[in-house]
This record gives sequence, C-alpha cells and structure tokens, in this order.
Amino acid sequence: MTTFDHIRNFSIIAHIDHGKSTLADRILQLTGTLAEREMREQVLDRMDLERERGITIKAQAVRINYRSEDGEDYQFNLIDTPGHVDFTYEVSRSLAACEGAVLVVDATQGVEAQTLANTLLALENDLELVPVLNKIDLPGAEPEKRAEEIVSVIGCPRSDILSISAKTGEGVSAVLEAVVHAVPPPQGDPDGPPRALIFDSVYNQYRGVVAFVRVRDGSFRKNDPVLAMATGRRSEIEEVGIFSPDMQKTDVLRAGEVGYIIPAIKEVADLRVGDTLTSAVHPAEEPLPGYRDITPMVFCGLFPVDGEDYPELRDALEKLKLNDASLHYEPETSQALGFGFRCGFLGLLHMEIIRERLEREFDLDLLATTPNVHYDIELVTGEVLGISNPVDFPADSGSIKEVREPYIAATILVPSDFVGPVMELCNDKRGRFEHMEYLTTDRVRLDYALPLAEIVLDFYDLLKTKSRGYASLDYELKDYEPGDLVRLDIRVAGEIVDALSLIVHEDRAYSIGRGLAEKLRKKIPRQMFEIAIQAAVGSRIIARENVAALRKDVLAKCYGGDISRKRKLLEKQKAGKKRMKMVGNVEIPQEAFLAVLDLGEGKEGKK
Amino acid sequence: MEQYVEALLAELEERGRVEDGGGGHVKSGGAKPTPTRTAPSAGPAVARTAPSAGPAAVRAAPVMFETIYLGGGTPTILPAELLAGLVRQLASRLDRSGGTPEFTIEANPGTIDRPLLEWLTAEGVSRFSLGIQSFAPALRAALGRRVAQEEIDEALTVIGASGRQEWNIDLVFGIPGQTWDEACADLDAAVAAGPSHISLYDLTYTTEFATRVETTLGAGARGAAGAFAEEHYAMAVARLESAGYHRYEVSNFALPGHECRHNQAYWRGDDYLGIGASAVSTLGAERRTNPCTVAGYLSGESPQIEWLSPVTRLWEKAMLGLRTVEGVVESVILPVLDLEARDRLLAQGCLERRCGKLRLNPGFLNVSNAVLGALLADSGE
Repeated sequence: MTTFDHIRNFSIIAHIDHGKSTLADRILQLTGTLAEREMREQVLDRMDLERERGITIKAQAVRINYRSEDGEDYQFNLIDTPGHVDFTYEVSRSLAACEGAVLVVDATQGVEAQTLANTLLALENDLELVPVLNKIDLPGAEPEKRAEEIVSVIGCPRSDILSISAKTGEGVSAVLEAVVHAVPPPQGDPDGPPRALIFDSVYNQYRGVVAFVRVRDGSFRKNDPVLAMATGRRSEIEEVGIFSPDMQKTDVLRAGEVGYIIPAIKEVADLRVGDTLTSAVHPAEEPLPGYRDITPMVFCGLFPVDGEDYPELRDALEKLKLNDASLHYEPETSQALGFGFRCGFLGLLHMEIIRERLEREFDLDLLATTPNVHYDIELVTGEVLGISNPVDFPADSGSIKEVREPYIAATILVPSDFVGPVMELCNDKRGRFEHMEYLTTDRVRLDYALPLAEIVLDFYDLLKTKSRGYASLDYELKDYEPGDLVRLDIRVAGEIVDALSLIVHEDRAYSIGRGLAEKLRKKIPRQMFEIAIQAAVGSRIIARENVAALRKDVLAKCYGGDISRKRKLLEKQKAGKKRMKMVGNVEIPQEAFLAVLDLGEGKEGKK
Repeated sequence: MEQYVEALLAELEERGRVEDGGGGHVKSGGAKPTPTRTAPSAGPAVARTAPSAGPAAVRAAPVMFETIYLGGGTPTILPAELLAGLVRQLASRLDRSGGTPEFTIEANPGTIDRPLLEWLTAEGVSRFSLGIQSFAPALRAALGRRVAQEEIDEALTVIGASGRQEWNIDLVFGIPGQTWDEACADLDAAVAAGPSHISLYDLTYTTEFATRVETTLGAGARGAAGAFAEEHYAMAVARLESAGYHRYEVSNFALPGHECRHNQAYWRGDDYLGIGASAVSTLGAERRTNPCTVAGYLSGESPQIEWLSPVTRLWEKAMLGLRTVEGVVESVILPVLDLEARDRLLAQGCLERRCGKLRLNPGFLNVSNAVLGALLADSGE
C-alpha cells in the first residue's frame, strides 16, 4: 500500500494551446501508463469535440505509477482540468483535489490571461506550482523573456523554471522529478469520518452517475452507505475504483487517493461538482469547503429548424443534462420560431459546445437566438423580476424603477502596443477602468469592470481584432449594477418578431436598431408586398428600412416540355421555403435571426 | 430532311392511334415540340387528340386532333413539296366534327411569302405564329437571330394583306442592352402590326447564351438586364393591355376571342401527343420526351419517360391553370393546396375566388412564381 508520502496529486494548468494535453500525453507515455499502441494525441480528451477543438471540457483523472530517480515508487494522480473561463468553478474544484500544479507557459507566447487566472486559482487552493516553459524547440521561442514573465507572475526563482518540449519529450522527465520533490504529499485523517471531494461527475448509460473524487479523510468501499452533503442525497456505493486511465475497479479508495465512486444515483444533478461525499452512517461534521451552486450566466433560445424535431430536441437536452448539471432549459414558445427551449449556460463556450453536441450527436438542425444575460428588474411597486429572456422585459417602461445587469471583473493581457485600442474597446463596451500594470516592459495587464452582456455579444472577437490576436481575456462574475437598459424590438410588417428582441443600453439602442434593420433588409428576400422593417424602443420607432416588393417572378414559357421543369423548379422553391419562418405575412429566412450576431464590426471566425 | 419528315409521319401513324385496354386514357391532347437545333429547318410536328375518337373507337383507329401545332424551329423553310406532304398529312387528322379546329404553324420572317401563306391556309392551317423577338436588328442579333429588317417587314405585309384573323407575334423582353425606348418601340411595333395574339417572353438564358452575354457585354450585363426587365415588365403588360390585348396567361395576350386553344389545352392539364425530335407528350401517367437531336431521333434512340402520379398531374393542373386568368375549379385542386397559405393569399388579395374557381389576382401574375410557390402544397414527390 502506498502511504501518503508516496502519493502526488497534481494538475496541469495552462492557457489554451500552450501544450497542456501534449504534456499529459508525454507523461503517460514516459511512465508507461499507456502502451504505445494505446497512445494517441490528447488521450485524456474523450469527446470528439474536445479532440477536434483542442480543448478540454470535462475533467479527467489518471493514476500513474512512477519510479523516481532515487528508486522510490510513487503514485501520481494527474487531474486534467477544463481550460476555459466558462468552467472556472470546475477548474477550481479540480485544483482543490490536488496539492500541486504544473504551470505550462508557451515559450513563444508567454503569460496569457488564463495563465494568470489559473495561477490565481491554484494559489487560492494552496497549490505548489511547478513552472514550465514549453515549446522551447520552436524557432519563435524566447525562453529568457518568457521566464521573466513567469517570475513576475508567481514570484518564483528563475532557476525553478523548467524548459521542455512536450512535443519531443525533451525535459519531461525533469518535470516528473519536480512533481516528486516540489509537490507535497496529501494530508488528511485516514481513520476519520470519510470525506471525498467531487471534482466532476459524468453520466454513464449503464452505470448511472459516476463521481470523480479525491478522498480527503477515511476510506470508501463497495456497499458503504454514502451521503452527498450539499444535496442531501443518500445512496449506497456500487463500485469504487481508479483511472488507469480507463475505470478500474478496486476494493477501497483511501484518504489521499483520487478515483471514482459509483453510487446508485441516476442524475448528475444529485452529485454536484464541489459537493462532499461522506458516510451516511457516520457522517463528517463539516463538508469540504468551496461548494457553490452554479447558476447559468448566458441564455439563448434553441429552436429546431424543422418544428417536427421538437420532441427530439427535448430528449437530446434531457440526455445532455444527465451529464451536465450546469445546463438549464425550459420550454419556450416563440411566435416567430415556434416551439423550442430557453437554455441557460455557464458561458459562451459552454453554449457553443452544447449547441454543437446537439447538432452532431443528435443530428438536430437548430436555430439559436442571440445570447443574452440575466437581468434583475425592480418595478416601481418594489417587486423584483429576474428575467433571462428579452420578451419578458416589461413593455411599459413607466413601471420600471431600475434595471440591474451582471458585471464581470475582466483581466486582459495585451502587448503594450495594443493598449490604446483595447482600452478604447473597453470604453466602447461600457467598461470601467480599474487597474493597469506592466508585467514586463512590453506586456500589460488591464483590469476592467465590464457588463457581461457586452462580452456575450461580440467583445471577444473585437478584442482579438483590435490586438491582432495577441490579447487574452479572463474574467469572473462580480455584482449586478444598475444601467440604463431598454428593450429593443424589431417589427416586420408591423409585427414584433419576438425572437429578435434585445435588451440594450439606451445610448446604443439607436445604432444597434439601425444596424439590425439594415442587416434584416439585406437578409429578407423581396416578396409580393413591400415590407417595412422597424426598430422600436417601446412605441418609439428609431429606425426603418423597406424591402421593396417583388415585381417580376415568372417562368415565361410553360408549354409541353416546360411543364416538368417548371414543376421541379417550384418544388425546389418549396423545399427552400421550409427554411423560412412565417411572421405574420412575411417569410423570414433562418439566417435573418442570426443578424444580430454579425452586428459587430470586424467579425472574425469562431474562437 | 426528307428522311426526317418521313419519320415524323411514321411516328404520327404509330402513336396517333387510340389504344384499347390499359391505354384507353387518351382523351384529348396537344403536342408542341421544341426546336431541334441541329436541323432548324425541320420542325417536329404536333397534334392534339380529340374526344371524338372516343374510347369506344375501333381498335387502333387514328386519333383526330382538336388542335395541331407545327413548330419548333422553322418548319416553313422545308422545301415546298416536303412541307406540303407534312401539312396535308397533319391536316387530314384534324377533327372537324366539333366546329373549326385550330392548326398553327410557326412561320418565321424570311421563310414566308404570299403564295406559301395562301397555300397553307387552303390546306387547313388556321393560325400563324411569327417569332419576331424584337423589332430592333441589334437586339435580334444579340439573341442570335439573323433576320433582316426587310424580311420582317415583308412577313408582316404578307400576313397583314392576307386579312388573316389568327396570327401571333412572339416578343422577348429583358434582352441585355435593351433600352427603355427600344422596349417601348418593340411593343408599339407589335401592336401596330395588328396580330390577334402576342406572346411576351422573359428572356431565357441557356448556359451558352449566358456566357456569350458575359463575354460580349461584360460581367454585369445579365444582372443589369434582369433589373431592367423588372422595370420593363409592368410597363409592357400595361401597354399591351391598353392596346386591347387581354392577358389570359402569364406570357400570353390576345384580342378577345383569339386565345390560342392549343396552349389553353396544356394549361387545362389535358393530354397531348408530341412527335419529332425533342417533342414531349403527356398521355395519362406517361410523360415522354423524344431524343433531343434529330440524329438521335432518326437512329431510334429511346425516349425519356417520366411517370406522373395522379397527384402530380393534379399539382401540374393547379400550377398551370393558376397561370391563366380563367383560373381552376377550386374543389378539383383542393388536395394539392396549402390551405393555410390559400387563406392568407386570399386575405392579402393575391388570390381571387369566383364562381367556385380560384385564380391569381391579375395584378399578381407578374409574380406568379412567388404566389404558386406559397400556395401549392408539397407535391409529395
């Protein structure tokens, strides 16, 4: 049995694309955890989507047996964390399950916003850091300059920073040795009441919910009655085991170890990330710290392009929800788009991922409305409405005392050359400057308070444009702040198109309204009548565009041989119409509903 | 050429008969072949069967036709004796039992003179159709029509002097390079010539033609012509109507009582027999397209067959009938209508309902595709 002394629980943290998964791959290979034939790139990222996009969405853990240079055998538990701001809470729980972290910085790119955010998270969780400069084999690598940045961020001696190439394997064994020596062994009471931190949970079709845990105190065995302390859910353990990296059954999970517990539970919502599992018979007095209820931050309506797919969409959301407690949804009916769901997400990436999974894994053709945030609306009566759908915004502005919107604390890292444009952008997006700091002579950290609603629309793309791709962004939610917000409606031929309503800042209503009306004019094909497109705040029309009536749409010749051709032409036209939505008497193409999304200037591809 | 005419007559002989048993659905029909490019002189012939032949007719009795249309290309450039043989044979199949049958021939300028006209009339041809396209030589050249102005003048004089009641001018609009004045002049010239019937066609682009327009007039020419045609269209329709030609189908205008009966049969969804290269027939559930080249036709290449379900034929009946001002009996086409769209279009005034018939509001004939696209239900094909 491995004692505490010979266990090392650690994680790898990095900005996206700095080489986290490659380093994990190399470690697994070098320690012989995986046979060569089992090896493939990004081995810990199981989902196709993760592998394709080069990101980690779900946390993963793997047990590694390592014989150190002094001949001792160690048990390593490597926890692979998601790497995006949407999943900050999950990352923080994964880190809470560790005693140390390997901080990977790309020697060509240097410290980025996520490097900083993850470092802060690691320090909050009292982790020992093993700083590593990766990609030193690349021609653009500037190890000295980048090392200086690391020193200024974590304050470690320069000599602690290892230089490696995860791709070639150079220097990776030094990382393993550093884990042995720099990361402390776990602490805890092996004989006390059992406590295990859930750092992720997944739904398995055959096994029900599988909790990924780090055992702090005591031990867990099959048939033990367990209690999830935050949700109060009781159950009995069906199986415990470790990841090697596939799930492997063991007799017991002891204090200090990382593994999985399968209680007889069918919903991930009952085994929340951050919750503490304990014995249902001799429960611990206190749960492990840090549990939070996760609430969605970003909302949008998801509608099937073909109304008949509604039941499939419902089933698909149910299935995804099994594995993703942070996904919220409820039925929504739109006059323009028919039956669908209003969904809540942790952030934009989370939204994109869910959407993509629905389309790919469930083969659904979806239409998503413009994402928005949650607002608190205080009425003159004193009542407070919480709304996450613009159509719920009260039409009578006289009834509103105050509208409050969520703000974030944004950290932006940017080369000093681009500070000007980036600050301008932040001001444009109603940002409030808080702090500026030179990390090195040419790398600046900017702190801004920004309305989340602005981030949700196009901030990230604009930031990348203004900094030629060099700026990086990380943020965390702060408070709600009051703002002069109004509801902007789009009327097509006099009728409000509910799916296009937006909540915007009053000062920007005019320009957004005008831009939107103009976009729509270009997207709505000419029809039998002239169509008026109006942008309105309440009853006040702030912009108007017209789609002129169609004046000629004929097939001139229609005799013997033309008849089949004409029929096929009309059939094709009908097939095309299936992708149109009828609002009143006007046919609106699907892509018109995305018009809001391309309002931003300099829109570039998906991040 | 001789061989082709022989083949036409042989096809008429073979297919222009009433079958018994399963094939007894030949009720009435017409056929209009499309031009044969390889031999423009040899127009495929056309015939429409008449009810008089009746299902009870003697086995394999020759069908008699209510209307015949000899066109596609320019049949009038056939050598006189060949043309005579063909016309006589066709005329012998006209059904004269129920009033005057209609026998149309396409007679393009440059191929017709007074004796020919008189002879054709004597043989039973009752209607002439002149493919003029445009009265402006440059625009005709743009369409690839090398007809001299004198030939047009001559043809118009000949027909005008003959005192003929039934004749048609084909005009094309939206020709790249066409000006507003030229467009007006074309219409005025057509009206001044005094035909009983005018067909006004939106220019159809073949791939080849599109390329030619692009290379000779520049990349933007087609788009500009299209935008101009849209401006031009309403004007053209109004101009013809104010001259007394009422629009009885999307592209067809006639003095009252001078509508082309052959075409009306297509739009009613009747059966028709087409003979010759590239000719199309619709007989019951079978739509048959002959080989498109004369060589292929003569060598016995197989025709293309498309099978039409009853729903498809109904769908076509609705699609075609709604292009006419007469409209269609609503109860007949009900199964192929999107009823929700129908009600909306009625409320919007795009559709009209009169005496059990549904028709497009004439003001919306210019956008008939848009209306039909909305109105007709999925064909289920």
